[in-house]
Amino acid sequence: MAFDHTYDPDKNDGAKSDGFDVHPHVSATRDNRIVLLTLFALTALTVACYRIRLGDANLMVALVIAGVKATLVGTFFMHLKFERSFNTLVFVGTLAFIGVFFLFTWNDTAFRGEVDHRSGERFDYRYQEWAQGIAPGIRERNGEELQPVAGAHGAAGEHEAAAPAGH
Amino acid sequence: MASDSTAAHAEHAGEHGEHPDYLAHHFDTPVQQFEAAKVGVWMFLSQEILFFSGLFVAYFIYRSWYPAAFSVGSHMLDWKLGLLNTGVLLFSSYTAAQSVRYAQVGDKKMVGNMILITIACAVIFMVIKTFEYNHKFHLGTLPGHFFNLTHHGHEAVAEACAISHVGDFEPYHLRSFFGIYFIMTGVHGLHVLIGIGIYIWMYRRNARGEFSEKFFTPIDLTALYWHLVDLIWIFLFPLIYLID
Repeated sequence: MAFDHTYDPDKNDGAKSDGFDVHPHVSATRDNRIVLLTLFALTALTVACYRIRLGDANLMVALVIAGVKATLVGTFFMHLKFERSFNTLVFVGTLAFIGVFFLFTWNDTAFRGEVDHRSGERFDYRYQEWAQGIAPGIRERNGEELQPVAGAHGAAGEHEAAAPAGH
Repeated sequence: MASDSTAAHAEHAGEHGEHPDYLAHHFDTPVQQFEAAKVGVWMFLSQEILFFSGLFVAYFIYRSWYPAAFSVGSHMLDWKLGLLNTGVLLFSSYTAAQSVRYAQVGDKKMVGNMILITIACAVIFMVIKTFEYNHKFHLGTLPGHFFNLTHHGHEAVAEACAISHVGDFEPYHLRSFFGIYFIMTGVHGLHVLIGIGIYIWMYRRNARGEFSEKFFTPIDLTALYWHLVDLIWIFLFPLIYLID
């Protein structure tokens, strides 16, 4: 439909048209300012969440807030709300395929150690333990295997308690 | 439906095929031209997102493989500079959106002003980025084979390890973090530079009076590109600067 230049007021969900000239949705300056201030506020929220150190939840919280910000930019600044829904379909469809890309790659790389024990293990310095899933060559340097230092670090969670107030 | 369009076309353009300067010959109406351009630019933006997605997937895999390196590496960056750049880029997205708004109502002077502010923000962004890159050279935290910690670099690693609560840490693993850091921010920065170029071009076209409330497509499409550059940064900022 996007290339159909004929005008049907009941069907056209894109720029309003008399069939010839473009009559777009004009965003009000006030609306754009509200979006901008919301984006600033969400940015401040992201930094605040980082500063109070949420630990493992840090990544998820940051991604959710970034997703909300991206939706605001797409919906209002990029006019997706006022455009033909076909353009939104193109955009959202792209994001869906990135999800496929990510999940399949993650499914490979995150469980390699479990699937194929010959592929070796990897060492997680934060938790001071060998974790599974990386080729043996990667934990070697100058032909010498890197050795984990036992007891230098507590189990997961202990380091959180010892965290200083700020950084 | 077709007869309506033909009637509208004849009424506006005359029966001898006259049409506005901005309407290309292979389009019947400005609406058709506008919507074709919109679909085209959204296809382009999708391609851009798919291109960046490869880098984001690499980021997540390496972060899951080397969590400590990403934590330490992130703490070697100055999140305040990242925050400043985020603010600058968000504001430039607002001025880009406003340039479209003013173009739609035919306010040529304000379109020019908004474009100038957008360009100024983009330049500020790149200047701050340059200071950050310069600091990496100082520390020796460069990507791949160029990774070679200096004395200051070792001090910075020790400091970052203390903040991250990472005990015995192999600084060599920072190569993966800074490799991804430089590629992702570098490619993003390249997009900012290209955006500056396009906006200079748009400023000149606007000054020549090429745009009106009936034809503002190039301003609209340039703003869409600029918003995409902003979108990428919205994700880059927390992923790179704000790792706990």
